[in-house]
Amino acid sequence: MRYFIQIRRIAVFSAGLFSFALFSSIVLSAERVVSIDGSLTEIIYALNAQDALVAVDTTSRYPQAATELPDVGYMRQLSAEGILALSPTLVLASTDAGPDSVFEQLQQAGVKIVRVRNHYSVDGVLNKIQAVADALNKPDAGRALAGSIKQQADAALASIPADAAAPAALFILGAGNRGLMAAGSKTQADAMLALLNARNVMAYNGYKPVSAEAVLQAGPEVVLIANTEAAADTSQAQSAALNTQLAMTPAFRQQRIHTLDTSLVLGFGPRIGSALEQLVTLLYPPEMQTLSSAEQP
Amino acid sequence: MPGAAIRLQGPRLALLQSAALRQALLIFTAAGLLVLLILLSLRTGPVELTNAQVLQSLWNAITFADIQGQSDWVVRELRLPRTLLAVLIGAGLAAAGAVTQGVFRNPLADPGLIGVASGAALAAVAVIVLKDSLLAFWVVVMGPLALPIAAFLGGLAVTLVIYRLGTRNGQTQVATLLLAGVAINVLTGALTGILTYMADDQALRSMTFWSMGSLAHGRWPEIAALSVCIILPLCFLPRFARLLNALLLGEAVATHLGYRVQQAKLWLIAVAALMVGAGVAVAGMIGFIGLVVPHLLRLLIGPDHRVLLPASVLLGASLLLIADMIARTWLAPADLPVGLVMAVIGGPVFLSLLLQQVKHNRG
Amino acid sequence: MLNVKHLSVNLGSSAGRSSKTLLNDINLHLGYGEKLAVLGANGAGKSTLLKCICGEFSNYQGDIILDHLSLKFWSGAERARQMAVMPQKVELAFPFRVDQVVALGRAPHGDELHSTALQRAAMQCADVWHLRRRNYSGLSGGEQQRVQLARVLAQIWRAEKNADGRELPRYLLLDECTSALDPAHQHSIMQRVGEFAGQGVAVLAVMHDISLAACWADRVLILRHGEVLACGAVELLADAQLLAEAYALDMPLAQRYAQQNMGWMQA
Repeated sequence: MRYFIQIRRIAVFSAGLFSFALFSSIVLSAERVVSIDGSLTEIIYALNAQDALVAVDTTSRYPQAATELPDVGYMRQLSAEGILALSPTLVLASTDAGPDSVFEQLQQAGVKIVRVRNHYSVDGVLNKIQAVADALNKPDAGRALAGSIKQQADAALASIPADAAAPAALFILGAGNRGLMAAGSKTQADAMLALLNARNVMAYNGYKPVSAEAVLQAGPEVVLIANTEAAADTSQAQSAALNTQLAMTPAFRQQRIHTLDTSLVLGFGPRIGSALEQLVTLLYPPEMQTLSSAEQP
Repeated sequence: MPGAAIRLQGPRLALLQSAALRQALLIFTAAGLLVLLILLSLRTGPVELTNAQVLQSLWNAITFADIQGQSDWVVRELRLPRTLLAVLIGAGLAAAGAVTQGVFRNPLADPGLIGVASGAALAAVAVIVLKDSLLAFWVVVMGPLALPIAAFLGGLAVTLVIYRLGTRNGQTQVATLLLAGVAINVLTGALTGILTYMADDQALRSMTFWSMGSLAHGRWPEIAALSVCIILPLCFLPRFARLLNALLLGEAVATHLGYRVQQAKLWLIAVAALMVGAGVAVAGMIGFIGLVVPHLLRLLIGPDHRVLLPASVLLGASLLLIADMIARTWLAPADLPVGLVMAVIGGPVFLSLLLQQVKHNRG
Repeated sequence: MLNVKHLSVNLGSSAGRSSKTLLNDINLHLGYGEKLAVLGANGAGKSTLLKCICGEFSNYQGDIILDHLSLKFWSGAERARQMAVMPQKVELAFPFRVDQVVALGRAPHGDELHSTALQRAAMQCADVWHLRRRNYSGLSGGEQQRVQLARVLAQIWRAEKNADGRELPRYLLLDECTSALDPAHQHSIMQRVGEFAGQGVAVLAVMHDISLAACWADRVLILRHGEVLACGAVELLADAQLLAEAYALDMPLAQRYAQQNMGWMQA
C-alpha cells in the first residue's frame, strides 16, 4: 500500500514537471509585447495580435480589454525596471514616449525596441499600422488593415461637400469644469480640423486656457468637446457649466456643441476612419446645406 | 461722551484731526480707486464695447432686467461675475493676511504658513486624481461642488492640525506653530506631489488650472457661496481691530488690557482659514496678496488695525482686479492664470519693499 | 483692597509626577493707597505671584480677592478698567509710534480718541511727552520702559465710577519696571508712582533693587522658595539677618545692605 502511494507521488511529480516544461516552452516561444501609446495599442487589437500583449501604458484606454492589462505608467514617465519586470521581448512605443534613457536601458537589457513616429495625418496612421504589423511579423494583416482604413477615410473625406465654406471650429479639451482649455495650432486637434478642411478659431500654439469672452469674440460655428470615457458620468454637470460659458456663440445658438470621445478623435489610430465619418457629419450636417438658418431670437 | 471732545485743547485737536483725516482720506481714495477699477474691469475685454453700453448693462444688472443682446450678456454674465470674484477673493486674501500677521506678530506670517493653502491644494488634487477610484463616492455625492468643498475642508483641517500642534495647555506658542506649519506644509506638499505623479494627462491639465489660480470659472452660484464665506467674516473683523492692536504688544499685555486672547486667536485663525479656504476653493492658489498688501499698507499708514483692516480689504481687491485684467488681456485670446500674474507682480514689489526697509533701518 | 488667600501654584499639575511648587500658601493684603514692594532672590516666585494677581495665570489653588469679589468672577474687561500691569519688557512686532502705544492703554475704556488730554498727562508724568512722535522700536530700553509706564498710567489715570457714583478702586502692578532706567529716572518715576498711590491706588511692585524698595515702599513682602519669608513694614529691610536669609548673603554683606537701607529709609 505504502509502495503504491510512493509510485503515485512520483507519477504526479513527473507529470507536474512535464506540464511545467511544456507551459514554459510555449510562453518562451511567443512574443511578449509592451505597448506604450494608446494608438499603438489600438492597432495591436485591430491586427488581432492582442494575445502577445502583456502590458500597456496609461494612455491606452481603448478597447476596454486593454485597460485590464498591467499598466507600466504614464508614457512620458516610464521606468526601465518596471517594464523589465514583465520580461518583454518587444517594446512598441511612439516617439513621444520617454524618457529616452529608459529605452537605452531596455535595449541594453536585450529587449527589442520599435519606436513609431506619430504623424497626425491619414498617411501617418497608415505608416504606423504598417510599422506595428512589421514589428509583429504580420505584414500582410497590416496591409489589409491599412487598405480598409484608407478606403474608409477617403470615403469620409470625399463626402465633404465641395462648395461648403470651411466651418469655424473650436476644439475644447473637457478638462473638468474649471475654465475652457482650447486647442491652438500644432496640436492633434488642429491637425484633425485641417484634415477636415475646417478652420480652427484659436491661432496660438498648443493647448491653452481661454476666457469665455475670447471664445465669443472668436465666434465658433461648431464647438467640439473631447472627453475621456471615464469623465462621461460627470459630463452632464460639466456641459451645463460649459453651456453657460458658451451661450451667445453662433455654435450655441445653432445647437452645434458636440461632445466626443478623446481617444477616438485625437487618437490617430485605426479608428481614424470612423472618427472622420463622425466629424464630417458634425462639421457639415446635411440640413445645413439646405436650411438657410435656424437662428432663434 | 459728547463733552469729551470739547475738553481737547486747540492745537492737539487739529493734530488729531489731521491724523484721522489722513486715514479717512486714504480709505476714501482706496475706495474710489476700487470703484474705478471695477468699472475699468467691466470695460476691458476682447469684445469691444462703449462706455454707454457698459453703464447701461450695469444698470440692467442692478435692476435685474432681462439680458438684452450679446453686449449685455458679455458684461453681465462674463465680466461682472469675474470682477466680483476678483474683488471678493482679493479682499478676503488681504484681510486674512493682515489678521494672520497680527495674530502671529510676524510680518512674514502668510495664510499659507498656517497650512490653509497647502491643505486646500492637497484636497483639490486628491479629488482631481482620485475622482474615478478612491473618491468616486465624494464626487457622486457632492456633484459639481465636490472640488471647492473638498478644498475648503482640506484647508481648514490642515490649519486645525497645525494649530493643535502649536498649542500646549491652551497657550499657543508662535514659534512651535510656525515650525509645525513648515513641517506640515512639506508633508502635504509631498502628498500632493505623489498624487501629481499618479495623474494622467487630463488630470494634470485640471491641476494646472487649479494650482496657478484662475478667476475664469466664477459663476453666480460660486459667487453667492463666496460672498457668505468672505463678507460675513469681514463684517466680524472690526470687532477684533483693538485686540489685534493690543496683541502687537504681546499676548501678556493683551491679557492685561482685558482681552480673552486665546479664544480670540482661535476665532481669528478660523476666520482667516475660512476666507482663504473659500477663495482657494473657487479660484485656486493665488499667492502674495496676503503677504504684500498688509505689508505695503503698514509702511504707508502704520500698523493700527482699525485702519489697516479696511484698507487691506480695499487694496487687496484692487490689486487682484489689476492682476486679472492683465491676465485676460495680455496674451488674449489665451487666458493667463491670474496666480502667475500675481506672483510676477508681487515678487518684485515685495523685494523692493524689503530692500527699502533695510535701507531705512540702516540710514 | 487686594487679598491673597492661601495661594499655591504647582507646575506639572497632574498628581504623581514630579510637580514643582512655585508658590506655597501665600497670604497677602494690600490696601488702597498702599505701596507694597515684593522682594526675593531670583526664582523666589515674585513674577508668578504677579501673574496670578493680574489674571495672566489662572491655574492656582487658593483665592485672590479684588474688592470683595474673587478674581475668578471678574471679566477681563472689567478687571482691565481698574487694574494696570506693567511687564518687565515689551517688544513691538510692528512699528507703532509712542503716542499710539500709550493710546492702547485706553483700549479697555474704548475712549482712545476722546482722552488725549489724559494721555498727554500720563506721558508727561513718565517723561516721554517729547518722544510721542518717535517710533517705539527705535527707542532705548529705558525710554521704552517709560513709554510702557505712561501706557499703564493712562489705563488707570482716573477712577471709573459705578452706577451709583462710587469711585471704583484702582490697582497698579509693576514687574521690575525700573530695571533699565538710570538712577535719576528710577527715583523720579518711583516718586510719580508713589504720588499715584497717594490718590488711593493700591500699588504692588516686584523689585530687585533693595535700596530703591527701602526708599519707596510702605510695606514689603519677602519671598523665598515660593513661600513668604517675611511680610511687614519697610523697616524689615534694615534687618540684616532677614536679608541674609532671603538672598543667601554672607552676614557681613547683609549687614552692609541693611545699613544702606536704613540710610535710604531715613532719606
